[in-house]
Amino acid sequence: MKNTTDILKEKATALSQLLMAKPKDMDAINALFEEIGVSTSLTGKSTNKARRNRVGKSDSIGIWKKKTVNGQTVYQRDIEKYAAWHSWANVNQLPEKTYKKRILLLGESVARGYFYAPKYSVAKELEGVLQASNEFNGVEVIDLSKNSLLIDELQELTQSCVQLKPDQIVVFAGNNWVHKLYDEITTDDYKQIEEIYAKEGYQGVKVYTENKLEKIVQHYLKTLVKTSKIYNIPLVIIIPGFNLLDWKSDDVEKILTRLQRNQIQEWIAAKNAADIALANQNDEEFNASAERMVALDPSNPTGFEYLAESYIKQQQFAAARECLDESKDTILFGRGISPKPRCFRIIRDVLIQTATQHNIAYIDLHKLFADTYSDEVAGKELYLDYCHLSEKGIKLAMKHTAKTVIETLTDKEISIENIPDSAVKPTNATAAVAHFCAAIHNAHFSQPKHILAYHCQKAVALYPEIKEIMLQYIDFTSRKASTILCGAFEKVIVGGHMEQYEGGMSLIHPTRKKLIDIELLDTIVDALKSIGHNYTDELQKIRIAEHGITEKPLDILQSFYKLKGYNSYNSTTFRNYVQLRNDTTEFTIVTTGTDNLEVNIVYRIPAYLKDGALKIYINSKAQQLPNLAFSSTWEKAVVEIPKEYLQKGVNKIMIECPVAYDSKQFLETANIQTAMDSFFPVLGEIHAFTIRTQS
Amino acid sequence: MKVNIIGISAFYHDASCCILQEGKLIAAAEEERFTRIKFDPSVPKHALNYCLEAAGITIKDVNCIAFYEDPTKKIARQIWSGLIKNDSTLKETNFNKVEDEIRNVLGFEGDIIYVDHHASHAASAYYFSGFDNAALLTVDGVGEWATTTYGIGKGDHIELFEEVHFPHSIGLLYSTITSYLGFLVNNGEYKVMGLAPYGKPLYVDQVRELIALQEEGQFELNMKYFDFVKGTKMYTDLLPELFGRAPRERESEMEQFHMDVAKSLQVVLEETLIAKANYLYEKTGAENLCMAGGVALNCVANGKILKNTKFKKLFVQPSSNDAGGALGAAALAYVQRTGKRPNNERLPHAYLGPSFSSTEIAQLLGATNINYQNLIGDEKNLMKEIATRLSEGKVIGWFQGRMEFGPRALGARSIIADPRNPEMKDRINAMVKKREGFRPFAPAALHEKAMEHFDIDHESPFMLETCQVISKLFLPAITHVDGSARLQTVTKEANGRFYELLKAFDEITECPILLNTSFNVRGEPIVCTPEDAIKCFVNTDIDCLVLGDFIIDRSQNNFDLLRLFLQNDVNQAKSGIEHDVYTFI
Repeated sequence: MKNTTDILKEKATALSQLLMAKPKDMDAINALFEEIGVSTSLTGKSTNKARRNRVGKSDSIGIWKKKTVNGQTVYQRDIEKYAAWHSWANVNQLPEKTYKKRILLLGESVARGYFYAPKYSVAKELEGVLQASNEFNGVEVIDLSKNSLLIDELQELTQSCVQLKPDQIVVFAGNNWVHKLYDEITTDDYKQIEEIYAKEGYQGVKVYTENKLEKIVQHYLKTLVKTSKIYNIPLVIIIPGFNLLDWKSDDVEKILTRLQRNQIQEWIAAKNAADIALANQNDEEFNASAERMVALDPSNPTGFEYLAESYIKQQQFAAARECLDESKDTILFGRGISPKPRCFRIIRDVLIQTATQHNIAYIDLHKLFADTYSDEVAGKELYLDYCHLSEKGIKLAMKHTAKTVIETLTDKEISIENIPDSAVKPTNATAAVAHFCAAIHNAHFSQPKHILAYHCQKAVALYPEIKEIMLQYIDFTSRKASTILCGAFEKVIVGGHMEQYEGGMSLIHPTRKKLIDIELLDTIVDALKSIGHNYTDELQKIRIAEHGITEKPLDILQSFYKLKGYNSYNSTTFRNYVQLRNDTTEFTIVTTGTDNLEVNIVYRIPAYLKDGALKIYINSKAQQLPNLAFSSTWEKAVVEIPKEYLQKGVNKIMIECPVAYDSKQFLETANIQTAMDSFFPVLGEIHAFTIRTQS
Repeated sequence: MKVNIIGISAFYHDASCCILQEGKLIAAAEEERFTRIKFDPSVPKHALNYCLEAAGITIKDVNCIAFYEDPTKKIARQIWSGLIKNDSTLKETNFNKVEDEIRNVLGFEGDIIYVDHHASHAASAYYFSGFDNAALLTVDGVGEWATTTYGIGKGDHIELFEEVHFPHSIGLLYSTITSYLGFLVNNGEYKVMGLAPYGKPLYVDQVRELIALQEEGQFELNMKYFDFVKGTKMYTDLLPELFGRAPRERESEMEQFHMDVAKSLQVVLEETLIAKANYLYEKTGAENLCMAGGVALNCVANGKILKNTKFKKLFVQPSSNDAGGALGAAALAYVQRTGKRPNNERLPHAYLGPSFSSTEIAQLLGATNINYQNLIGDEKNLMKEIATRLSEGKVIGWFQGRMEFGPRALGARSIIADPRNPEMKDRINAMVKKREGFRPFAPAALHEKAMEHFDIDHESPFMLETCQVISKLFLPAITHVDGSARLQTVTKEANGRFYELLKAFDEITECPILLNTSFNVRGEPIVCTPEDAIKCFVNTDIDCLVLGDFIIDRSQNNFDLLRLFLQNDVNQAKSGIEHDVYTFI
């Protein structure tokens, strides 16, 4: 006869089988749980430790900790937070309040003056303008901005900063607030989103996600307003802008979307038509095709970017800005794995609405820059990347901020023309390094070559001595070795030249994500040519030595060859094979161009693309290899690349995926677990991809 | 077409992957070595890619993946324990994680075979023991339901005929006391083993109160002292009461009391295992014993079992923890597919991981600012150079050939030193290991000379047995307080380079023994790649690093800056599991 324990074990086994079944029979599961009578009291409840300091209880403000020095209460950098020091202003001590008007600047990297800090910063610029205005008998701006500041950290900082007894708080943030939305999205949300999409399309999905984001923003603003009222500290809000013209969506952000009623093929046809029209300078056709793209897929930034280009051609700049603003917001649909910071329209709207409601002064950079540059769409002149401002951008933004600060604190109106320039300015070396850092940052997030060229050219023109740093960069980037171990990297850091890039530590790549920055290095070499130095051969030599294909099979799925930027869904963090979701995906190889190459590839194509094949091209569509025939299971293929298709140095392997699938069939057969799986179908997969010279 | 079988252990701790090709073990590695996340439990995608590359195949060529546990049974046990509740999380929880990740993360399309946890352990020992007939004893914390199993291996097949079920577990008893003594669960167990020789068995009565031996292979824990079923902590308040002392705070001072408790635990563990091994002998009549499971890593107990039972030979697989379960699962899948045992030979060595060519190492060093000596093609001089440094008291980071599979460094990813130096133990602890001073270091010795120095009559290639030091040499750095040592014997066939180094050291010093400890710092996995080795070297005070044919002397370099970079690197090693309590989910 079975004892109670055995019976219980049998029931537990039956229950485990029910739990593993797909779909789960919840009625049967509940019934068995009932029978087993497993008490939740068996399992101790874990207590949630308080994660944050409470208002007024903290004796820290960011990295600074309260201390008494010579009878004065000051805040000194906490050695226990050393690892975070480089993310904040390079200030050891925040002194006790004096007669000076004290302005606190809270914000994200954009408020730090990313790429210039600590040598030049937004806080220094604001202080410079305020001092030059002579409106106060002494004024100081305390820089409490931090790189990558998240909304929860900002909330904490907002509460703790009042200990510094400020006369005014300036908040310059909003770019990083979407992270909290990503953190809070649950599988239930995905299900709701799917239902909304079925009924209302992508517009409905956008409203849903914007509503969630709005709540997050409102929660923070409640704290901000409350803190301001309790301590009677006036506020100024600076709403970040975005580099509408010159920050382009990358391949990940532009992945093809699942559209209803097989419209993806129509969308691709419209895009092809737009490309042809653009090449043929047929503006009317280009505009019509771009409009069609947007109508078919408002979740894909490509259509908006094309349409904006069309409006710019027609000098309809306001319309172009509208399009690019929409394009920027499309990452709300879950595009990209690590998309760059940005201030969404919904955040801007909520900030303006709240500021107006509570009579808080604000500066909307989006509007300010549009008004200032009404005859163009502002871009790289004002921004070094997506949101970080150039020197020109900082000066313009801080002049207007200073005006607002003065008006708030003095209760008098002042004309912008009467706000003086600051005496603060980055040196040529600082500005050059900022541009070089910008070139690197833009490259690491897959920006077009002409933007990289712009920043590299600026850098060498401002400070030709930057050549030495650039050469070191070429060296350590081209190596297979981790950057952190490279001698050339060490030299750059020892020289202190890249302090403006988070102490140089931003040059260190994430694990297994080292990039070889093909376009950037080529651009650097071009820029150096403009000042009389030609390093073309040296670059070629090191690339071939480090990455050249030999008789030993080279794994092309390594980051060097498959990644163009850090924003990638094909990191080994997720899976050990590569998924193709764009119609064309590029891989990079380096060869001497003297040998035929043998490609070994293991691939598959999802069943919903059963009429398709993978097409492979070398360097151009004119050089095609045999197609990889459809196979929904892993298939091996060996393909030869004739040496005639290759050039010495860098070559591109382009894999074109089939896109003609039926949405319904996709939903029936695809393995959908996330938004990425649900909205952005896989078009091909590669498990192994090696190349060697043919013996 | 060859039969290619992948074995996997994952989702618990010590995830690993191995490949059997035509029944031959081609490669095996723990995932933590690649991800640098200590005890990484995640599905071993990097280890799989390595195994495929080592075997020269792709995922398409894999006939099946054998997983080292049965998820259904394991979930049943978790339900029984109350770890899975009927609450709002239930609907969202993916109970098919094992299959889903094998399919979606690894991309495997073929058959998945689930092998019971303890069957995996048993097979991992038997099929690699070279025995044709052996009794099987597996002991660990818990698998699905079983915590201890008894079986027999004959010819191509194994049979497990008795199990002890959760929560009654010798492994969990050991982990509970480990936790009480202020060490991390799933990490500190063998520190407790190392602590035991310093103590007296003053608390055996109390430990015996915790476990009661029963008929046949059975035993029971006295559950009023244990709290691990709830999955939040290991023991109840009654345990400190039983010992009359509060639990030791982590990193606090180690007192005689703690050593006495460790000793008492070790005594009770040994008497329990001996009693159950005797039962197993009576039941099977086999003269050979194969042991596996985390408890089989207790080399002190292993030696006692061999000495105090009628078993004549003992085989413990070098990765007898959960990582090694991958081997057993693959072996059983092979038997299931072909009807044949995978392997008739005793596992000759544990060098089953990645290796790096001199060209690759030269390319890496060429990218750095490191000063080094290149001795490609001059092995004799390389050995002489290193042996000389060792004889001068230098501590060497030794990186050669294929990485070891299993928790022991066996001369491929090792830190080595002169065992005769009385200060060496403290020196290595201070300069690299940063670990508790009481823990002993192990010796590696030339096989043919080992018996002159150690009381042992057989090979010990995997450092899984202890024996008494009988050497005329004074060997303070590797001799434990009770005169024992955890010996590795080295043959030319198993590890030619390490053998040659021992020989060269012997020629200079007349000592054929080296101190051998794992090449890692506390809290990090053993190094895998030349880059890992350089980082570990830079972050410690090891005198010299030997990377294949290259020698890097600290005295010829200034690593201050590089060390600063590494300390600020965001990609630093971390632990992948919970240490406050045994990881039941």
